[in-house]
Amino acid sequence: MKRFLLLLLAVFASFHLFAQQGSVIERFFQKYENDRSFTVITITPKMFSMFAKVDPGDADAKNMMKVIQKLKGLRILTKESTKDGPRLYKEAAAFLGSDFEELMTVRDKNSDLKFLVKEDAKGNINELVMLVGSSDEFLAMSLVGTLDLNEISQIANGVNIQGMDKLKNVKKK
Amino acid sequence: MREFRNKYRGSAEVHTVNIGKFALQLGSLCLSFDSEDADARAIKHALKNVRKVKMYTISNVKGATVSYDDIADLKSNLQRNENFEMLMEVREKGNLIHILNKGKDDELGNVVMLVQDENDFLIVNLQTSLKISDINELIHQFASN
Repeated sequence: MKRFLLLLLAVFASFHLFAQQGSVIERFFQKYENDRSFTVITITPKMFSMFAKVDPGDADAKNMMKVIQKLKGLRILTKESTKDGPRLYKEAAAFLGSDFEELMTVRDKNSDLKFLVKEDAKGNINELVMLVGSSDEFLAMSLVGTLDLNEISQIANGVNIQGMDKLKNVKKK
Repeated sequence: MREFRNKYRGSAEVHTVNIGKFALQLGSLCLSFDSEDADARAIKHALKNVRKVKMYTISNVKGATVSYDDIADLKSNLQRNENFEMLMEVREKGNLIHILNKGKDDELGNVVMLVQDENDFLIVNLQTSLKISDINELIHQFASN
């Protein structure tokens, strides 16, 4: 009985740890999602599972749909016409530091852009986070799903989200 | 949803529009006059699977009557008590769109859209038996234009 209780405790502790790990970017979104000056877009796993049943016409669309079927959620948090872009960028990057690995950083005169990924044991990407901070804008995007770099590159080619074009040429070796 | 609308009767301008099966059939009959229009044929086919459309509008200038908390309560009630599932959510400045549905795997089923713009709060409820394949046909038809 004692052993069973210990096992139960261990299972609950692991759930708690998993929940904490999964909530790093979530905590950042939660901090600002009720702020009316931000634009928030959320697409749920249910929506993606419905997309998965749509039968696309041509071959290109079919390939894109295969990738979309692997997506489990998308969240975008953005603030336009703001001077807080660099501050929010630094804050979001600090939130993600420990759990995510940096994939790419682009810095120019006016803006910073960072892609971070969370990988599983097989080397597949479980979550891609993109942060953009410029002198007049901030954007954070979280894309959840089991993907590889080729598939991320395919998504980058197929969507019109500021900054994602930088991933168009990323390929798995 | 009706309870939610009734809460604001008297304190805001409230309008209800109900479009039943008969009106929808009449609509699809009108569309069938132009038998050569492929778009009309696709819409007619989709309308066959829509049983009822209900719309409630509540005047809500700059969110003065229906607060964001009220909308959040309505959304969580739909999820908790009516088993609706969230499909997507978009919020930009004062505008808000929530889309929820309740249906089997391949069915769009019962769809609720909660839309807040600068002046009004709108609830749209589509009671359908539309399948994803029906939506697929509509997409193909309009994409081919």
